[in-house]
Amino acid sequence: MSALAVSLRVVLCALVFVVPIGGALGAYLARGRGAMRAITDALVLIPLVLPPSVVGYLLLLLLGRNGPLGAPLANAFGVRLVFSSAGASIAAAAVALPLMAKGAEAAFARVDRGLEEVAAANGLSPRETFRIVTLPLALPGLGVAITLAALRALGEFGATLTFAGYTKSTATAPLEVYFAMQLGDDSRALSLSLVLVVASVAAALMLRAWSRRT
Amino acid sequence: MKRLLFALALLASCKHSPRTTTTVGAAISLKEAAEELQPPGEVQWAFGASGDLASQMERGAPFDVLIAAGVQRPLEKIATERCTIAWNTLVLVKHKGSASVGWSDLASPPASFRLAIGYPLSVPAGAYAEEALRKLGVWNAVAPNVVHGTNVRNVFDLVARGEADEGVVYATDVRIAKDVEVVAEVPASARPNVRYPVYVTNAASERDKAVADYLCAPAAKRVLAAHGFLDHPP
Repeated sequence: MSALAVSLRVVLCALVFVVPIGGALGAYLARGRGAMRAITDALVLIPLVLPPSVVGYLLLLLLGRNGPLGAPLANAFGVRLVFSSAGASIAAAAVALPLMAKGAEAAFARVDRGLEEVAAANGLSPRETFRIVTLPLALPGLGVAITLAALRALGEFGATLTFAGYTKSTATAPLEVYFAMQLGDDSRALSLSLVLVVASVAAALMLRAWSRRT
Repeated sequence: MKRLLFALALLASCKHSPRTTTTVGAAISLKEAAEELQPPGEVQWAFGASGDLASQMERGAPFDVLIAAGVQRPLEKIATERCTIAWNTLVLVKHKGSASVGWSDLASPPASFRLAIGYPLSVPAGAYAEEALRKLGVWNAVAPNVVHGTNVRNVFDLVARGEADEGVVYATDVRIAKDVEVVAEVPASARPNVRYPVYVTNAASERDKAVADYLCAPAAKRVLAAHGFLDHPP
């Protein structure tokens, strides 16, 4: 079923950006202090608290053919994001990023600072400390964050429709369910819905397993 | 007990739908014109792609009168067509200032050219556009460049924002234009019969029927004509 293939591609492309950026933001949020941290925290949450249609609309204004970022992209590289799977990935990434960042923040905050200090006292560089001590301890929490972000990206509907539109390369499973339903094609809408239900249950079970390890 | 009553009152207030209001579905291309119509009683309009509205109606959505932008086959079992309220024609439009690609030029579209049409399964304007492009013999050539709007006004918006280079919309849509120019009307040889039938479900109330009577009377047709709709087949 092509809608599932589109969804898979969109989610994976979104995660390529969301995991490192959200992870770095989470690390900063867990360790940072002061006004800068508070402002970052508020900004990160915006896509989570805004209606997805607003997120999509703002993306369209910013990255559309005549937007302040979209126009140079289109003129210099011929890149047009609307009606492309890249556009759908950006919409999915925008709404998934807060879940990754906040999840990563929680994961890093739970790491015992004392263990990091011991590692540092034993001569490990900050990078080694992060790789050998911090990251392994935060890993289960990061797994939870990635799973939540992936699920949010998979379920994205509003921002995708407003920003990327509905066409072959942007027809993710949630969009396809909506348009199949509108056309009275219940067998298609229902079969796709069932696949999404199964995927969500599987992810919920995975989350449970991950959380037990934290 | 008081708390329970309060909670129930709160719950009841969530459902706000005055019984005296009749809901009428209408093709979104009629929006400005329809809002000037004065059917008997209180009417609220539900605008959208005709195909979407028809399939909602077929599944028992709470409206029994629909002005569609084309024949809706699925409605034939549950509704009756009362009259044609208006006709329309198609035009090719482009973003103001961008290069003009005419109907016949679509046989060899420029690189990375995007033509927006309505999603043909639910948007009549899209089905008409496909029909016209097929009659002109350019459909196969331009099909890879086609992107879809979810209703005809969405197609128009895609052109206005420059997300599509050109689009196929109704002649009347251009009246709401900004940043959009008409390239050309559809050639007479490929002109589809764009008409707006008024459907009434077989379960319609007297009030619904009175609304349909009004829609089929000359006064309503005059309002639409003032908005550029045709009162005869193109």
